[in-house]
Amino acid sequence: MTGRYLSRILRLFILLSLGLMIAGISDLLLSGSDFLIKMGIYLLIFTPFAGLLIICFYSKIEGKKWEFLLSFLLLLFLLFNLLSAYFF
Amino acid sequence: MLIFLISFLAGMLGSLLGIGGGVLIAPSLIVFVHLPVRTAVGTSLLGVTATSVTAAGIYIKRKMTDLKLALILETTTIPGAALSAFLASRIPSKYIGSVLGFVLLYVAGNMLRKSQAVPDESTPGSRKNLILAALASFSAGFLSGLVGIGGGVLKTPILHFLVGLPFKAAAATSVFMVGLTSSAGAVHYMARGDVDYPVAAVVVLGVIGGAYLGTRVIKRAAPLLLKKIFSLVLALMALKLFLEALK
Repeated sequence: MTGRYLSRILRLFILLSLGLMIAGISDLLLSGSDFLIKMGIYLLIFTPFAGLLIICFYSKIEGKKWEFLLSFLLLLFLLFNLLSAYFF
Repeated sequence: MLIFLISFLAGMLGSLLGIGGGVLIAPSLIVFVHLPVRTAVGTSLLGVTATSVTAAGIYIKRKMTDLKLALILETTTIPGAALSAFLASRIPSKYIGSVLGFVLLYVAGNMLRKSQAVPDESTPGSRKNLILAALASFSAGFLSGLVGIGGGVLKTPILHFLVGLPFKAAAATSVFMVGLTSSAGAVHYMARGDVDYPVAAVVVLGVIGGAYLGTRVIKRAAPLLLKKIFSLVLALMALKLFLEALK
């Protein structure tokens, strides 16, 4: 179940990001704004984080203790990494 | 257009071999777009993340990725990378680079020599030497952080030789791990403003196309051919490290 939902989320996010990027390039050429490109990039960067959230959530539901613990650890690392990049 | 094509090729190689593809993208951005080194690396990390996410989504659907193993090894890779960031200024990285160059050459040779003994490619293999693999992942994180190369070139051989995964499963698992590491690195470059967003959009579009094609090709590609290509990439990477050590 974890793999199925993880795969769906990754493919959905990459598709949304791709759409935003294509719209962003058109917007950049027409109006000179890179807002949509930035949104696409932020969505792309958030995707592994969302993937870990999915693993964490479904491994908890399925009672996979080790997968839950490891994904939770990695989530904490990514969160700390994000905070350290922007605030420290 | 040239950057799009190079990114396409990098995305394809990245998804086929389980490496990020940054080794192709970053130098191209410096040479052809004249981006400063930091901006080129930050922009290429976004391309690596896109390659990884695109390929990982498809490989996980095909059940080629060993998620638990990826989580275990990634948990040990990250402290290695963090330690290298802490010690980077105290260790002469060019000498470490040449040592790593020899390691890559050895792995490339081994990959070619043992390529006939291919385990069953349809299912992930047994998990032998897991503790050794965890230690190797820690070292891979440490070395890659120190000499500034992506982890994929080391992760795929670790998963293939030490853990015993078939080559395609090793590449699929490695590409998932690379995504986590590269997105963590890219955040720092974005926060510092070291990303060229319009160029990044072209790179991302290219690598997504290439990575998607790579996931199609891997189904039909012979593991022996993939190993030969991977050995060539490792040898080129070793050459680059030796040249940097000589500077």
